[in-house]
Amino acid sequence: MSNEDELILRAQTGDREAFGVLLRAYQRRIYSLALHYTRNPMDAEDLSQEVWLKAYRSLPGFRGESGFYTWLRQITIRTLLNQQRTSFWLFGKKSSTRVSLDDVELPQYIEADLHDRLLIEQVRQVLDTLTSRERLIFLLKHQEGMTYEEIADSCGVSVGTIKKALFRTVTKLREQLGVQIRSRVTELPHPLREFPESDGAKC
Amino acid sequence: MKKHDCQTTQQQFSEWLFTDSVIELDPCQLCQEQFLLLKNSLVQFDQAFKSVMPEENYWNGYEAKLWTKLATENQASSLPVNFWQPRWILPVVACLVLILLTVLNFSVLKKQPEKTSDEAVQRNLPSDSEVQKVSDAPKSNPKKQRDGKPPREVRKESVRPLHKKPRFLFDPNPIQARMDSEAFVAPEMALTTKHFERAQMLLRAFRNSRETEPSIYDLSYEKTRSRRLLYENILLRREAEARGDWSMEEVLNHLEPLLLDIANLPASATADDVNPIKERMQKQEIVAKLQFYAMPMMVAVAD
Repeated sequence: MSNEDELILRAQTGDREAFGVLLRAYQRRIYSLALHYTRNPMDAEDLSQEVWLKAYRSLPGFRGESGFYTWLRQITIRTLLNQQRTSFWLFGKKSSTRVSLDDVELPQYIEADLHDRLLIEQVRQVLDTLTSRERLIFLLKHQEGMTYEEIADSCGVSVGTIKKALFRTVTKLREQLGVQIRSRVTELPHPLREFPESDGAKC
Repeated sequence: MKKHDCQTTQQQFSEWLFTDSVIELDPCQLCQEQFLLLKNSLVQFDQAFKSVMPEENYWNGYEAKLWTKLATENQASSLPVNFWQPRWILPVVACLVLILLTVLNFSVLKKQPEKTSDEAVQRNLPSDSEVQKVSDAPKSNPKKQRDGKPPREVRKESVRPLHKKPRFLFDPNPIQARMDSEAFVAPEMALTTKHFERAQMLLRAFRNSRETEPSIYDLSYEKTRSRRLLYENILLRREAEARGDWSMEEVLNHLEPLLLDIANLPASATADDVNPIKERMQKQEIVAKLQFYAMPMMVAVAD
């Protein structure tokens, strides 16, 4: 029995200290997912705390059929989807407290490059144009690295729908970023630049 | 040598962007540039968001707040149910108000005796002063005075009653009841009713669909219809949310993934594609739900 299983067993019997250890282990990941989704620290805090409250209440029912984090993430997804019904900001209505890149303290390597700042802003704008469900699908794939089947199962839609949603997101990204492709590509500092040189053939 | 197709390659981007494995792109500069830019923007975006994550000391306060919430919750659940707790008062008050409204409605209806045709005509007649006012008007016309013809009599039948009948949903007069009920039903509710009816039809058709060829379903009609309904559903759901109509919003919310799945079915859908949706429909009992929620509104807008 792993240390985590032991902690879960203890937490199930009402040991708050054990629950605290589990909380400290995963609170950042849950908060991060909520923050990516809401892009508002206040909303992210409320949502992530709601997730933990739900987890605490339903912990006695946890049978260990999946990993603890997988179970926790499922609660998070349900909470985020339920939030759609009660919040206005999810339907394209801008929240006044949404994180803007002007308010974000970017690390030095990002601050150094204004182009990158613009790039991030463009990605953010693309995410703004997505529906809340599409955004969640994108985050689950990109941030959580979930498989199509897992996302489909979590969101209650088919794999085809997930693929289409991701394709739409990437298409929007391409459309948004496509304008400056020619001018920027030579400056990109990324290992993926190690591509074979093109012979310049027209496609 | 296989000819490179930019469109096909770029359609694969959504698959390749989220994998950690090394992707070997065709030696097309445009595709490579686009892929690099997409990948790079996602990397930068992640880095930007990492910087928004709170500092270490934030988590102590976060944890403390959570424990407070848990303690409050535990305290609330351990308290005996208070007599004046609004948990039961609200439904009781709502029931009383409903009963009161029903009694009032029936008592007012009962008080209205069936009128004879003469009485009805009499009721529709304008008052003397109004008749006088109308009949005075032609006298002042100089042209008619020149002709020496007497002024035309005012047709009493054409004068509309000044006082409208009170509106009741279950009026004995069916035409008036329809007019009244339509006046009560907001246009968005009528739209939602229609939408529910259409969705019901679509889901029933989808549920009853059979294989046209061995293990192939021809669902092109259902797909097109579902796509149209999906847009309508999104709009109605948003409207319902803006109105604060949570029950309606929930039904529309349940309907949406199903419509989305039907709309996104492949051109030649197989049993593997169709059966999971059918199972979900059955599990959620969505057709029955639609029928149930559409019914009260249908009563209101019925002929």
